[in-house]
Amino acid sequence: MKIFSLTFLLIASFSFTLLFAPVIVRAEDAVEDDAEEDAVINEEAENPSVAESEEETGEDLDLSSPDVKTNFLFVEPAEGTDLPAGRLVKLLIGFHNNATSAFLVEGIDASFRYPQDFSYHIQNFSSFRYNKVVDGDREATFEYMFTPSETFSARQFGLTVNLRYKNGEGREFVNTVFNETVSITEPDEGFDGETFFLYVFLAAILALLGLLGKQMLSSVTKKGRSSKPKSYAAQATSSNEVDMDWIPKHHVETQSNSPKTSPRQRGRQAPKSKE
Amino acid sequence: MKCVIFLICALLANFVYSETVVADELEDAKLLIAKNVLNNYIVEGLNLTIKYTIHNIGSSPALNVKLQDENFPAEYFEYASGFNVAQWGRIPPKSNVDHVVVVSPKLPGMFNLTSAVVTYLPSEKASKVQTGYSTELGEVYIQKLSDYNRRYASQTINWILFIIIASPSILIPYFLWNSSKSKYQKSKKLKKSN
Repeated sequence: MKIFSLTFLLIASFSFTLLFAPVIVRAEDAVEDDAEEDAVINEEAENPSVAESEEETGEDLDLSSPDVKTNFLFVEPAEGTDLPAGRLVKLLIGFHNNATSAFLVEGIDASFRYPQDFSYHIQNFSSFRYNKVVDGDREATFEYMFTPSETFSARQFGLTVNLRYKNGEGREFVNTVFNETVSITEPDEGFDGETFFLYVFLAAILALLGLLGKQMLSSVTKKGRSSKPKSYAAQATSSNEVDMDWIPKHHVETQSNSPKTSPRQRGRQAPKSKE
Repeated sequence: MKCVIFLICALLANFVYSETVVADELEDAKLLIAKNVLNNYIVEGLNLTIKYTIHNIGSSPALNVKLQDENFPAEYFEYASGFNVAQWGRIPPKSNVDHVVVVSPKLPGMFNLTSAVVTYLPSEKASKVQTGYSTELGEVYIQKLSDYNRRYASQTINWILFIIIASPSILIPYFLWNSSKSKYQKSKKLKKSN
């Protein structure tokens, strides 16, 4: 009986942990606020936290329409939570109109927010105007793109993408399509101009040093045997004569034989002399 | 013993519950359709490549997918390659398909590149056909071919003309110099032979 109770206790504890495991895991998920899925449906009608953030931003626009569902997909880069700095980010936004009446999709705007306080804007991206009518029971896709600044690399930002639309009565709605923390990563470039020219510069310095070293060495070695040419030069200058050894022999010959007449005259004279 | 049975039941229930939680909210197929121009310049008479990409972000395959683009009427565009209608029997979840057509605009001027229409069945059970619109590019300017050539063509004929026009000013002095040089050398040789 004692053994039974022990095993019973074990089973009980094990099953209790299993029973509450999903609850705990989900709670952790909520805290971490990371979503790795490529595509997430965002139904604001069921998501009061988004509505709260909307109120925080102080926009006097209404909340989303319950008939509209939006979803998104990052096309470039494929995993949406790591955006390379200075590169174009493209995302597709799906707009599903479940109502019978039409909606006018006005545009999309996106902004980087401070991750600890989403009401604090760091950078607003240019808003796109679409002005496209989506009839009842239809869906449409919209493309939005932006480039995070290169100065933002290796930091985290809250990225908020808002889709604004109107119904037939002119009532305005806003759907927060994406509202998550993204990290800006440094782009991995195959060819970096800066490092390339750094290496070129280093190579140039090395070559210069080599040249200087060679010159130094040659001057050091010359000192030993430089006595002869020095004395030779001194001799030439002291005797105050033109040292013909410096001039190649054929030059000396041509100089001595150089004609005193102009080439034109020579041309006329030459055939005569031949005769 | 009853307690053990209860616990096992609870365990099973827990297992089933977690399974349902894991199942995606997005049960039906969901298509996002992008329509892009791959050219940098849109020029009359030259090829214009249009790429359609259909992403299925749902968790079930999209069936009988038909893409139709009536944006390029015959009086304004000519299909150089591909068709304005494309069909796929099935697009699996978390995958995408591409369709590329090449058209050439016949007339220059402003043109509104609107969206293509995609119809599909969101799931195998669905009987209602879902209609979706692709992204659109809006008004684009189709350049005149002569304008485009003036700016970006290789200008081969112009360079040949330039060479022909510029050659006299280089060649005439060269021949003058060459003739005088040859004369000088001839006289020098004769002198030497003497």
